[in-house]
Amino acid sequence: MSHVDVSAPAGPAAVPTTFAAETAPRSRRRRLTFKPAFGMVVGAALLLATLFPGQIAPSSPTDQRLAERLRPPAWMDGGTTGHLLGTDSLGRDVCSRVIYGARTTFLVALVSSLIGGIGGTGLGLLAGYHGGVLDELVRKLVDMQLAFPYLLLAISAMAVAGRSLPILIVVLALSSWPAFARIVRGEVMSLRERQFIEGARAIGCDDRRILLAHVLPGVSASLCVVWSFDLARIVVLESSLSFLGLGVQPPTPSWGMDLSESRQFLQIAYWTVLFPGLAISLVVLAANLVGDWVRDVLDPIVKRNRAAA
Amino acid sequence: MGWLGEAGRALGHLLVVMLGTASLVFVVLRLTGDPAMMVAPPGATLDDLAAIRRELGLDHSIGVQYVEFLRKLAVGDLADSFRYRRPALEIVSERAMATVQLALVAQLLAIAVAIPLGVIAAIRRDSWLDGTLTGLATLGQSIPHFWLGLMAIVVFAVHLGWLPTSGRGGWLHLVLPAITLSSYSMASLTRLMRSSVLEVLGSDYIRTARAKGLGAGLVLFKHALKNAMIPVVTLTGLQLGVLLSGAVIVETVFAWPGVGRLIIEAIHTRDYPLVQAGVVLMALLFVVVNQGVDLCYRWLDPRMAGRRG
Repeated sequence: MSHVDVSAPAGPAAVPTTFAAETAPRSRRRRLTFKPAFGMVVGAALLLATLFPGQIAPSSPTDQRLAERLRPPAWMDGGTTGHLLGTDSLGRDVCSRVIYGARTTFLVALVSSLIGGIGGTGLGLLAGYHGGVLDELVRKLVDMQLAFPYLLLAISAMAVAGRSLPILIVVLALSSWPAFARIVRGEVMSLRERQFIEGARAIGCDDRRILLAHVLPGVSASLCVVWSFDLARIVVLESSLSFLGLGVQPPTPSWGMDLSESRQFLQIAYWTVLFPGLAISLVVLAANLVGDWVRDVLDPIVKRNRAAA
Repeated sequence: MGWLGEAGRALGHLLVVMLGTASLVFVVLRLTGDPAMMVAPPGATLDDLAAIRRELGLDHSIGVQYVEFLRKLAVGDLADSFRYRRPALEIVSERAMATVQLALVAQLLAIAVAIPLGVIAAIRRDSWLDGTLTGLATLGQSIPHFWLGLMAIVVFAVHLGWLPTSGRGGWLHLVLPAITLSSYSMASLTRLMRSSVLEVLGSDYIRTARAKGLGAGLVLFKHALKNAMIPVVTLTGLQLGVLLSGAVIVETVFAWPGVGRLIIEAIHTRDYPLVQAGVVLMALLFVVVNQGVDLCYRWLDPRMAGRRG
């Protein structure tokens, strides 16, 4: 999938053509345009909400006021400025819950994708560098897992092992290693034939040093791209599990869980569902946009690595 | 390899994946809980419990249970559902049509919309139209199914009253779930189609076709599209997992009586045989369609015959 998504036509630029496609300027996709800038602003907001929720949020996310339950947002009839985005079925401030929920989402996604990313990168390095049985095994596993409806496995595992944060992180991390392993393996296979690797081997570097000091830096560009898409994917998976009632446990504020709890009030209080979901979508969109941008910027590097094999 | 060998290999692959999935589901589900407690009526004595265990075959060791499970699976005889007290496979099969209908309509919708949009975006590359379509596609890839579904219910069912909120009935019931489920596939297919068309349009044989004076339309529809479709067929196969995962969520949101919703319900009541039957059936569906896509792929691209992608 990663190969076909590269959107540059391969032919020489000066082909006379009737299509606007090939005459358009190409340089502008390098610049920091609106889309990645938007992604970074959302990312910065997420980071702020993760680090200082208490300073930003108007009230506590767990403060229940049953007398003020299901208040609409401030701009609607019956809304108060005290609850900018309204209150949920237990009278908790929706705005504060969205802000505090950022921490859960961000930390869970970060830790899981780091664990999965390191594992997948390690396996990809070894498989691509050594080849053989290990390579065959990794490739088979990756192919199977990438295509299989992973949510089914995640649901079964969470249902049986119980809702707990460590288990959730393990399940999410297990979902993210194949993407890393696949990309790293492919690039290592072409890198290992290059002269500088041969040179390193000639002056007596052992495999470990070659992999960590010479091969790993070569795949770091691709890792950035895979990582940002993986963050987006994990946020969706985590919120989907929480939505099915199989994610983090209350009272931890979580966007997916808030959505699931408020679902039964959808018809009379849509804001309890609108804002947590909007937050999820914005974060996923931001990670995707940044990922697209990084890929476009790094594209020449990735191509050169592949072509030089 | 002749086609007989191909078919044999495909069948072998199918068996391995089925066995792996079935084993995994078995192991995960037996890790915790006592199913006998779930079916026992309130106030049951220890003797009653023992009797139920005997009846369900739970008094044997886990190894014996596993072998028994596989033996029965081989002849298509999965255990009875604890809750409904009749063959789990029967219950799952009754629900299968609903899932297949939903997934099929969603995928067809995605293909029907994505291919023209992708081609338009490609031939108008870097225009405002391309920008809008690509932006919408990124958005479609970022919004989680469950939130899109809930918001669609708020707008089109609750607010406008055009469509039913949930359940299965006439074609009107299918509209919102199918569109929701197709969103992700539609978005990724549009993006892929765009980049694929761009790549093909830049290739040498298209340049030749133009050089000998063929019109733009002829070049696009007769020469470029067939090759541009190859990655799209591959992705359609790869997306099947996403589609089935999405079906679990969308069926839960819209109370669509399919296998996905059945699995979620069965998990909450710890109805192990039902979960097993559901996941095994989903896996079977997945592997069969995947092999079908594989064959399609070879037919489209004879260069791939005898080679694994």
